[in-house]
Amino acid sequence: MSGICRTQTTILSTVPLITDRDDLDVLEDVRLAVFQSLADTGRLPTADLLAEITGSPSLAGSCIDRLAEQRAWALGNNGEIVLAHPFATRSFGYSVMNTRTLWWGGCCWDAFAIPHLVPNCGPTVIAGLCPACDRPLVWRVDTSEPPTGPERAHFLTPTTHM
Amino acid sequence: MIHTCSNQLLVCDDRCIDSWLDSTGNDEGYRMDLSTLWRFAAHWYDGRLERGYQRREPADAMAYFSEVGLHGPFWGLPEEPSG
Repeated sequence: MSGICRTQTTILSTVPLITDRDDLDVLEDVRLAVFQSLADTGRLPTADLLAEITGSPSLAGSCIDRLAEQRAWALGNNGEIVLAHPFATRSFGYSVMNTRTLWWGGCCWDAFAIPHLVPNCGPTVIAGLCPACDRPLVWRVDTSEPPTGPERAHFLTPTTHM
Repeated sequence: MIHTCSNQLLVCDDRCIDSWLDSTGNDEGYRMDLSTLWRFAAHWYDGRLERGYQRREPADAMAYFSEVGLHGPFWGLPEEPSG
């Protein structure tokens, strides 16, 4: 069944409806609304907000799909935004916390990027689990200097295959 | 994109990377320390919250990789000079 499910934070895409209003300005408005909401709150904007921006829920869904095709974000199996780098809308293993907001990072790289991208973020606490031994790992990360520690990052997919 | 991100991981140390590769059967990828990861993350997404943001072209991406200290064919770059 197509349509927008209006939960507090989750936007589901509809069958794409491309109309005259689905132009570059509207697409950019939607893109910015999503990223600004994620930066400010760690959560997606409401369906109502996106419908207000685009003119209708179906156009909002169409814009979400178009922007996914342009690799602005990645959609999950139900058409919802799951990755809008560096933000995620579910756990990929790394939480990022400052004094006001809790984010999911899309990966370890994304998690480390959030304090740099979010304006006036301040210091963050980034946490995860070692996938090899299950030990909890945590770092204080800000924009002034890198954290210290013996931990290592491993990237599996070469850029030529991304 | 989801598979790639799910396999960009922080671990305790090189031994845990070895253990993870052994248990998952994955091939060796690229290892980096916290400083490199932090530099890599620092400016990669600059501008993404601003109107008119454009993704990096491949040449710009590779220049960024080199600037933050990455090297080798994994990143489409030359190997780090030895000595």
